[in-house]
Amino acid sequence: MENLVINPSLADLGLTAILFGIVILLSVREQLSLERTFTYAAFRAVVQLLLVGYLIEQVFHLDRWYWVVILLITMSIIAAKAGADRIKSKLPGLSLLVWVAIFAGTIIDTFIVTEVILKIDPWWDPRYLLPLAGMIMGNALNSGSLAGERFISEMRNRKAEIETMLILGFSSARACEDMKRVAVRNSLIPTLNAMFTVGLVHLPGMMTGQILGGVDPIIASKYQIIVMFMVASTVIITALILIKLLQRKYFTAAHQLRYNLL
Amino acid sequence: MIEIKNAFFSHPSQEYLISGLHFTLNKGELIFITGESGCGKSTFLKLLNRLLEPTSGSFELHGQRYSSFDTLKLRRKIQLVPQTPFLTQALVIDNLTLASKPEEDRIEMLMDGFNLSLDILHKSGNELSVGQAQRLCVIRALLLKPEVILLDEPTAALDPKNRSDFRSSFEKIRKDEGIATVWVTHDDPEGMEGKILHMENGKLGN
Repeated sequence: MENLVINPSLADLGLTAILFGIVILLSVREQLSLERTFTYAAFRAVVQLLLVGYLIEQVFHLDRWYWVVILLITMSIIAAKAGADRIKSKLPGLSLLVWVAIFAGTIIDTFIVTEVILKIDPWWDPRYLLPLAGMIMGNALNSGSLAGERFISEMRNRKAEIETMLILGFSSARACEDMKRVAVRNSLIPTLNAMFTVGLVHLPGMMTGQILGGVDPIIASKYQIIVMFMVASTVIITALILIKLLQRKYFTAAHQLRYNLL
Repeated sequence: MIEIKNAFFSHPSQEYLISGLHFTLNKGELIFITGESGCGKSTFLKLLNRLLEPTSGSFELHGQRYSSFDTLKLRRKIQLVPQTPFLTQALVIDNLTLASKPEEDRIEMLMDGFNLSLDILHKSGNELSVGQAQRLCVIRALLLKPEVILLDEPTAALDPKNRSDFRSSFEKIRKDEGIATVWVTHDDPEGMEGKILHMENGKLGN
């Protein structure tokens, strides 16, 4: 089988307007009032995707490690903002905590995947580093917002329990151990569910992309296995780092709860 | 044994709840604290237990500053029983022994002392009445063998008969074990020996 990749022309891309039209038409017909939101979301998504495609192409072209790093840092800042926005709480400095968790989680996992497993050379080869780090970051974002949201709501709802544990002479880490467990498990549920059905019900985005891009399906599934474990470890690392940081925010060094933050 | 000088406390960006407070508690002493709701009585107990940090002032136990003790050990010595009792849904016996490994005899003695049947030890912590939970929280604190116990309205959820029973049960154990006690109450502590201090404007007075 020849590796023929169909490269959609701009005119072909324009034909996706048919699919866009279907959504608008159904929204109007069924009175879903989604037209405005969907149009805005569609406009943003198209602009973002074209822009990122262009940016990555430029980074490929410039071929310098620092451009790759600058792009990754920018992506992580945007991810942190999006992650913090998804958490309902208005905890001061939350975006920074989310950024540290996402960045640390991404660095650890990206290093393992690109240096230990794939051994890419040079280490910053944007063709591998950007899509893999981007995928890791996307998962870190989801995990961070799920874990953060749940941990904060557990802290609020279980104030009496935390107070009791502190009074009885337990450390702040021990006092919110159960809240941590609940929050981390909560952030891992989507990944676990996906692992059970992967390949059976759906082909994951990256695998689909690689097959469409002409890669041998066996190679695509090998990559998907790497991605699957990469996602699971990113989720748990990011969630635990964020919760650790939140714990430090909620308690003083003398194991006192900062009531004003609840 | 506890000596507080010129204590101030305010939550961030709020007025002082405790302001220029002086307080002394001697070994085995019982002190009642009365005052209107929101005057800072519960806050004062949380400061004594170091659950809250004072804005300023000196807090000493046995002549040593609170900050020189390990906070977690200090809290075990100065036990607070909050106004709202908290027990997990685990068995009552597991709730009682969460923070200590007491002898069975001591649990039985305290259960008996507070008119609680031993049968409830194997019930879930959330199957109890507020009055039972409140007494169990006092027992859980006593099992840690504290030097000081801080009670925040421990009889608020009890009817007059149980209230009077609680007072006499607690009084006996307190005297037997020589535990210094600070007891915040809305009721008239008439009939019990002990000093009564009134809290007003963030200070304690007679």
